Amino acid sequence: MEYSKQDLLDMYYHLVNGRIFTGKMSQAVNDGHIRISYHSAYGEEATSIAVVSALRKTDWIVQSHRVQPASIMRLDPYKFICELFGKRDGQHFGTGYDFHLSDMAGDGRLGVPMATLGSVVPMYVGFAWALKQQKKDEIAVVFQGDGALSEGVCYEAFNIGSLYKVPMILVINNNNWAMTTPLNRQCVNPDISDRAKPFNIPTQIVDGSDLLALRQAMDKAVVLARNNEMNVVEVKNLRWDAHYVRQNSSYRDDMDEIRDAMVNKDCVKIYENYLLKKNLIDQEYIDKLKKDCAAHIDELIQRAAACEYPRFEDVYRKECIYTMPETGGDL
Amino acid sequence: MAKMYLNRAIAAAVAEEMARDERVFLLGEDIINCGGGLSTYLGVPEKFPDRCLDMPIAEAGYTYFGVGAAVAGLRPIVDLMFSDFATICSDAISNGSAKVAFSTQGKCGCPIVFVMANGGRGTYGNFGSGCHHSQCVESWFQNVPGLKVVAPYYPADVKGLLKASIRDDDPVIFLFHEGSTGVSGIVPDEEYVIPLTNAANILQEGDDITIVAIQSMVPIAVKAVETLKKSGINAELIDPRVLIPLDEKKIIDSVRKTGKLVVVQEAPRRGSFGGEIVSTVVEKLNGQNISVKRLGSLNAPIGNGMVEYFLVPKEEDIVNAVKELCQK
Repeated sequence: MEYSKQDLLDMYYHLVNGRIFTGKMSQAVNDGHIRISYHSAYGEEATSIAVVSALRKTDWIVQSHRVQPASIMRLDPYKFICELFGKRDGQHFGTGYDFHLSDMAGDGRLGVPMATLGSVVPMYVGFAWALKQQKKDEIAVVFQGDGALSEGVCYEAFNIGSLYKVPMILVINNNNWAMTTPLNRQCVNPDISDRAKPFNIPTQIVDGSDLLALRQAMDKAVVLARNNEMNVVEVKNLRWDAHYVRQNSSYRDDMDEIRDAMVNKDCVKIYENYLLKKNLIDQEYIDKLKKDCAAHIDELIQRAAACEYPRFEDVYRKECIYTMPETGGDL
Repeated sequence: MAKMYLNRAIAAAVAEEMARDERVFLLGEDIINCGGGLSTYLGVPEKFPDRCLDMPIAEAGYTYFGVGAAVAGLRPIVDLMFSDFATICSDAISNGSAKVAFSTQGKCGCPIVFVMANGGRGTYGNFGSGCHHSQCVESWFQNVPGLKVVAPYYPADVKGLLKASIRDDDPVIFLFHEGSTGVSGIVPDEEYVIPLTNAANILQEGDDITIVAIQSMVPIAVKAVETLKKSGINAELIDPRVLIPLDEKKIIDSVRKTGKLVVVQEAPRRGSFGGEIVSTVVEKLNGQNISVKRLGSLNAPIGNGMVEYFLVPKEEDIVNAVKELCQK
């Protein structure tokens, strides 16, 4: 499939912005602005960009680990940074972080996520069925990692999703590590998407360093999903960072592989070279874009750092515990 | 006014609400061929074939399915057959549905009802079904903010409260009692809804002592109250019907009057809802001279068959507890 120049450049912007955002958030951990585990998308940014680029604005995505670059394509990045910093200007007054971040009422179309792993797979099978039942021409895309796919409910979801034909895509970000456990100590078959095949669910495996290949795979997946065919896209990534930023990563036995990937399998460099070869960008364009993105994110970080923490009454309003506060009893 | 079996009252409530609101749908095991595992939805699949979903035996998966559908704007009724199976889907219920309103800061609700048969047939001396089909689980959910818990006994209450639960915008654990599916009662002909707030029902007025009986213990307490009358003790009997939100006012007002409280439930005594009711009353009436007693099942797993009856509180337990407090 051919993409327009604008489409290619948009993806480049989001990829560069996502990479810079990722680096800046790691720095924000070091600077003490982010005070809980930050699961960095470093090296895996293209996955986020391909998914969101392939979707309509009315389609839904569900946040999980290492997809912050996708979230900032859908949500005001200032509100998102405030969530990471726990500040009251955040989407949910700073109470959501990224694991509990959603935009159900606004234009972002981020579905309510679950921080217990695997659970969003059956949940969004139901969500997608409800979209179909309401005759909405919308699909849902759920991100989960290789580790989460060991949860049993994923397979209940495959069964129900293929039985009820739901407009949903599961993107498995297989980055070879579940916290500190490598894939070869989690399962025998490294191709996790194979597990969907017995349910007659179409699967694809894509290289996470190749943005265009990812986008093409997503385009195919979207066509299937719009035809109510639940399907799986497995992205082969390598987690460059530790499980969370500043985690002692002495358990990693693949440092040579990471160093090699940073040179030869960097999704930003690979895509940049593609655009350079096509003469769509030049070095000046690259430098300016990177400088602008960095300056913009720095400014947002400064604003978020200056923002206050939430107050009790911002957050613990009765209508936030029970939608019908008069029926919820005392707080 | 018609006499109606409890399972028919459930089916009538569900059918009426499905007719009223096309967002309401039903999912669970064996819905289509036998109206649910306990035949509580007879006739509903025929009326609403597009909104009755048979699910594979995957309670965790299909409960999440319901939560997702609720988040997407529908109003699912998730049938879990036996309340014992709630543990299989407790993540979907307690971490999923209960947290939606808070984690969206009120921008999205989770209007879902989890319907399940609570307790055992052994409660009334019948052959019981053992430790995975007979437990009373209402206490498991009381420590999860965001959930509502409804536990009525009589068919008329079941119907009115189930309709309110389906219309409620929050997740509701709706428990009917397994031992009462064959119980019939008078159900009004006209349409009615019993709100979940201020839901406690004073079944008998009295000045000497307050008895709060939860679900299956209501008919047993009714008998105990009659027996106590013969000994000259006038007990006030309250059926809370809804546990969250609890109608604290009616209970506290009653105990303020009587000074004595017996709470009786089928769930094991330790960590139970009855304990919560006692704590609430004692705290609110601090400084007054109040005596209290909790009755519940023994803190033991339930055996199959006739032994289930050994564990549960009986009429004489209520009578003895009341007399003990009244003698002080």
